[in-house]
Amino acid sequence: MNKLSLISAGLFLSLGLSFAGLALTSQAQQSGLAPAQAEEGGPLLPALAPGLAVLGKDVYLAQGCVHCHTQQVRPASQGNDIAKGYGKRPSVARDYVLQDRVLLGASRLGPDLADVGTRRTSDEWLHLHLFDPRIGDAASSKPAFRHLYELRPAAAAKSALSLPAGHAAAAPAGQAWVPTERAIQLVAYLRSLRIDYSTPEAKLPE
Amino acid sequence: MSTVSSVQQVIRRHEPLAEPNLGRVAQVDHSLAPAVLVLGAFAALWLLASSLLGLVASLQLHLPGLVTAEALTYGRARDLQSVLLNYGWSANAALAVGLWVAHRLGRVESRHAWVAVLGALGWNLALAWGCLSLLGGGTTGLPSLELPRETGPFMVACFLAVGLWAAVAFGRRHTPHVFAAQWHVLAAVLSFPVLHLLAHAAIHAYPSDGVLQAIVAAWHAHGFLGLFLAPVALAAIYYLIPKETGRPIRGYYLATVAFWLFVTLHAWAGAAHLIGSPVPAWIQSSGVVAAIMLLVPAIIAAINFQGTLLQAPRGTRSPSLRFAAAAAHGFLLWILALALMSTRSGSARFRFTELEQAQGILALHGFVALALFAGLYYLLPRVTRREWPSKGLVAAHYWLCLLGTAGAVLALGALGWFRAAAPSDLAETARALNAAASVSLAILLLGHLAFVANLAALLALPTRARGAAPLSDR
Repeated sequence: MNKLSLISAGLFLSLGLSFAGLALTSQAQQSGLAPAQAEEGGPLLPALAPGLAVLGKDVYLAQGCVHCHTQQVRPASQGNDIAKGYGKRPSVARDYVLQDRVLLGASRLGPDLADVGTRRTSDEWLHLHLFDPRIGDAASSKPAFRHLYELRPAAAAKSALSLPAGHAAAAPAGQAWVPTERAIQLVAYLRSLRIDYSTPEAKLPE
Repeated sequence: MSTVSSVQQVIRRHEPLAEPNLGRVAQVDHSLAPAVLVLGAFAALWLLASSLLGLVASLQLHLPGLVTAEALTYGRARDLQSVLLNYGWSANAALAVGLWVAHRLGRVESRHAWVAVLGALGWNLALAWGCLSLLGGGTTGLPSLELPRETGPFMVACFLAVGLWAAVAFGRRHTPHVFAAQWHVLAAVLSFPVLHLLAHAAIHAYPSDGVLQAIVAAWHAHGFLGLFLAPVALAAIYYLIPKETGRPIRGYYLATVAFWLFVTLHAWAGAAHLIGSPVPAWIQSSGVVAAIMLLVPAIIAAINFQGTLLQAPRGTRSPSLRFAAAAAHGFLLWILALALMSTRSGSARFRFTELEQAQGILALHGFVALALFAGLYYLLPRVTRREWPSKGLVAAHYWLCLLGTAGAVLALGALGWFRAAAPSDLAETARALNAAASVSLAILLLGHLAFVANLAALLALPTRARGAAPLSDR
């Protein structure tokens, strides 16, 4: 243990082997993965996310959502995700092939979002939840993303938030809270997160 | 910045590197002053910033609505906090301690300290720029690779300008014998550049498909801790325990085995953070095996560290030894927690809960930071030829660190445990335990303030007179 060259060679070998083993072999194993038909004649899935949702992913990233939300449903043998209603089937690698940044996440201070688009189908609900998470659940520890909303004259506001009566942040008379571009994109992204389809290796339960 | 200017003063005072009336060891220490002080000062500043941000993030969990500034909402504060803790405090302090241990044990003077100083300045400049980008929401969203892609190759180059001198010192050493601390430092400074470059290449330069990104990110995140920070921390412990107790390391012949097991297993253990994720099953299994096998080098480390500490005569409790001993215990607990969380059933229950955060705090604050403090408390007086101005602040730092770390680990660990047991109706418990975690993080911040105040006072002190006896070197 006193030769610089031997110790360095051992280290590089160990690091190189682990990189080759973990990254390169799984690349070789999975590089052919693409959207597929679950059954003959069916649509190719997963499908590309709509443009608004792609923009919304940047908002999701910039707000640091990944620190509290995962995007992966584990198989029933490896966690109670399906029992909790995070998804009807486990996530599989194919679900992510069209994403340019995969945000599996490592912490669940909030619920998993892999299938949130199936659970939450109302833009209005999502906007209210982002504006003030304590409207629906008084004990929520989610931050309020009020900076994604702005006050506009009520007459011109098309998609004003309808806050519950007596809300502390209620808009002054004649004005209304409306979602900014970023909020609209973020909600589009959240609604695009769905694993409500079957793939060859993971079928939805009948 | 008074700290920065006093660092500059110290560097200026140390400009003439060779002083004929100093002994060899003192000359080695002296030659490292510029690099170690720049790294140490940056480490201290980032440590405070990161502790403060950690507290800001934690407070929001039980006082939602406390922070309304977009740049400091929970997610962004956590991004900044973890980047500053990893790349700011831990990396700078690890480089300072690693450089010093490599030169001191090899009895090699640092000849081109300015290269290392330049590297350190570049590293911290890139980090500061990256943090500004994070404040604006420019994260990549991948754990431990949050910084913008442009910083990657540049930070590796800066790292090499600092860290390679440890390898140079190993190659040019004037001593026939090689110590465990030296291999560990070598492993750290050689691993980080490879890890960081390969991960950046696989994620940014040749973007890998789908979940492969998550595999690479997990490999990098675990490697950063297990192959860069942990080896330097172990080096500090291997160096300080025999130095300060006057006892040889017990079962020293086992240290070689532990070292090689440690570096090979940590390279694979990252996959244990993907159990249950949509990645190939064999990758998850290899992670489980590696993480559980890490118990073997941990047991050897226990024989080496705790075995030696048990034999140490009472009453030889220097501040460095106290920190090093606590770090050795923290190391054991961390590997134990890692192994338990990496079993299939442990992961199924506890993955994604606060127990994982608790494990991270145990690793970074309860092991790495304590070992790096041990190193800094030992080396800074020797490098600057000044004593720590306040012994009281050192003791306060030690106890506040222990109390804060233990409190945060226990509070978050308990919360994670409850969450796994009863998934609903935890709101009251969660609020109470998150509040306890915040109090603990505030205690930790207070401890770090004691350290930084002491460091600032040390840098402001005049150097001891030339003829004064050098600090005791047992």
